[in-house]
Amino acid sequence: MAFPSFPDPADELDALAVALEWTLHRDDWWGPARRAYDAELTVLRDDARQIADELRTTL
Amino acid sequence: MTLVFPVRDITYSDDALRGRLDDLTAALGHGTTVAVSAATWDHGGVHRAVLAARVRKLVSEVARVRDAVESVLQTVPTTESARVTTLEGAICAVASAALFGPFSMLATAWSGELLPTLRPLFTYAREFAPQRPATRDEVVVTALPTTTSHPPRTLRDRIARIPRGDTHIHIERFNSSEGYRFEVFLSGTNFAGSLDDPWNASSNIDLAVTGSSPALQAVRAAMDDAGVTRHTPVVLTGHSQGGLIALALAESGDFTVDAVITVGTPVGVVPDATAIPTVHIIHPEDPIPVLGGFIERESSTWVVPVAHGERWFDAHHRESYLPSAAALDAIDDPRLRALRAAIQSTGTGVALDYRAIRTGDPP
Repeated sequence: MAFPSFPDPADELDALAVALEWTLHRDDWWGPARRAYDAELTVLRDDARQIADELRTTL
Repeated sequence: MTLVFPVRDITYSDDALRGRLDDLTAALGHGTTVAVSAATWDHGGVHRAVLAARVRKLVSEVARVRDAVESVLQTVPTTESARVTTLEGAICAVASAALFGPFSMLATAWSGELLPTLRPLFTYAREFAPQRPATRDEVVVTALPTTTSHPPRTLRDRIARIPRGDTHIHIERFNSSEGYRFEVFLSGTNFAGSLDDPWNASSNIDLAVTGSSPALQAVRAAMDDAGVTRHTPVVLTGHSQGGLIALALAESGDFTVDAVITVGTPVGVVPDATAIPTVHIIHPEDPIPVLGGFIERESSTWVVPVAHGERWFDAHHRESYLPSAAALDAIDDPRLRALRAAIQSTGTGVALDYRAIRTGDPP
């Protein structure tokens, strides 16, 4: 019986970034605070991508 | 970083929130997987340890945002199926309390399920409670020595002027070329208040059930004493029960109310005066606003997560709303900007504080 392999952390971080990207592009948002909220999600998305890149080059 | 979630008066659907909650839950799932993996990186050198720390911080931030969205979702109208689920939860909690005693209710509260339990119960109790006549208690209002005052300029300024302690009513009068303008600030419930305190907890029930209360009578008397007439513009600001009183005064049509500002108020208890600009600030962590039922959409409610992680009644204190009001002041929302300009007083004013005592037979 083969055990499933552990997901690649960089791929998982990419998937995290995609989920945040998806939510950033939903078009039915709720008003004037969108910019503040989107700004935070954008930072988190970029962090996820950056960590994924560093993982790929250093681990 | 403080997130601000305006809920009312804008294009919004709870489906939108649910979609975002799903997105953030999925993101968190991926992040958690990485965090588990990262637990082994600490042994792989400094750089790996730094990356592991960054992953943990990232996952923690995503979790915080997801929790914030989930909290907001609890304060907006749900679908009928979700409402049925809530009611089922309420019935189970009550049945469990009846069968196994109040400890089980405490356990329910501890598990975080008490709020959706209390909310429908309060709503239905209000709908089916016998209509008692308005209270006949007498209220005596005493004016304290006056002081000078400068006009409040922001929402935070106004929240900071809501009185505390034994003084429940603070009124400021400003004189301009157009005549007097008034700002009325009303405190929240004094839960430790004695029977002769019009701001004790029973005043809330009186106001919800009968439309009047000793506290409301006291405010009317104080406003009359301060010189507020039917035609002088007045801005009403209240915390908790004070917000309910402000809404009741606005709804009465007896005053020229320019705006109503509330914090931590169960605004569903009394109807909104829809023609009057209103700003309701609530914390999703505050258990009191949800007692008013689901948020209606006719006015402007701003759901702002607490600034310092307060929970339960700590999230209800007036002080905990000060940074939230400041957060609203800081965002560049055209409606709030217009409202602040429209209600701005000028010049030096007079500040009047009032104490109120209930006389007559307590209920």
